[in-house]
Amino acid sequence: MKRSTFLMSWLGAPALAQSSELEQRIRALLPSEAENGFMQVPWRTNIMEAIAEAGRANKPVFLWVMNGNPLGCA
Amino acid sequence: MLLTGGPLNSWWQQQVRSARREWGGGSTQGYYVFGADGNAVLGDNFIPRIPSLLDRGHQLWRQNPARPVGVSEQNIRNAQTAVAPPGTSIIRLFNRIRPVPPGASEMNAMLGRDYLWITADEVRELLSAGAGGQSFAMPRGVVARLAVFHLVDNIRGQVWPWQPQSVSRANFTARLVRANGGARMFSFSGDYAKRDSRPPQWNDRGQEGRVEGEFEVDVTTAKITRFRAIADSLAWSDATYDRNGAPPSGRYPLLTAMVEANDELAQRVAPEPAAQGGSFYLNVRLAR
Repeated sequence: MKRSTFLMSWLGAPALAQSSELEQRIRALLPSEAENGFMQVPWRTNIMEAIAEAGRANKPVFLWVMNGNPLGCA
Repeated sequence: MLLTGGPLNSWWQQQVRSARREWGGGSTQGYYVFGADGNAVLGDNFIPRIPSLLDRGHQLWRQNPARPVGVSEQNIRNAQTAVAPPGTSIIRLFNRIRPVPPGASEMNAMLGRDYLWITADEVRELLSAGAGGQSFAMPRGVVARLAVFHLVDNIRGQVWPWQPQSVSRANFTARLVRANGGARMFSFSGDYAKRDSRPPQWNDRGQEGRVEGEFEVDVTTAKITRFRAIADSLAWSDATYDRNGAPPSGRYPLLTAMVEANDELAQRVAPEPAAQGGSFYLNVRLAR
């Protein structure tokens, strides 16, 4: 605990000052609501589980295929 | 989930052939409708036609009454994405070209996304190295994954992979800035540079930049509970292989934002370079 207190007073203030600017710069790069719109669909990530589920529910499956996972990669 | 090049490959090729009569091999990217019998009935790869694809797919589905679908546990395992080792911290990355240079393809205004895995062992290494308050080198695996796989221009689509030997500089150091009960906050920064050539796809591709950030670790679980970082770089590429649009000409500004991802989706989507197996991704190291 003594070391914690020491480090906080020694190094804490500059890190917090930097943090606010960092947050702002990051926020400016995050996806917009429109860019994240497709994420509102409850996508399944395993085609075989989806096919089994669709079979039980008697529903068709819509599949989106691309190079890189559509939910997180390029 | 890997459809090509893995255990689902022959099943998937068969589905594409039956859903897209015009398909003559090559990329299977696109949109597909599967009937409830587990077989693809329609496929296309043109965004403006998605509504008509859905309408037609629905009609075809109605014409083919559902049959029992046999999906085995092995089928499900074959379709599973690589899973992070237990205790792994996951960071979400967002890449943008900002500002997009005048005259560049509009595709350069898009957003690149990916995930970074940091293992529990690497977090424990950070905790141990930083205990005295001095600056220390970030774990080699984390540096290599960032430099090779993640600090990249994936704005227009999947990246032609970089190799560790193309990275000429990646010096990332961290320092403990605060300890509060069971939490430790670190800051980190570093410079990186890489360059390669692969004619005829491109003769000169490169990136030089600096990364700065901070993160908080829960000591008990060795998990990163908060991560904020940004990489600010200049990139260049004379690549011509990308049909979606060329990169901007000359050197252009490429930014990467990184934030922790503790949601369920982050557990289900592997980093793009880990799609064929987490081991290759986790074990990459720089030569120097």
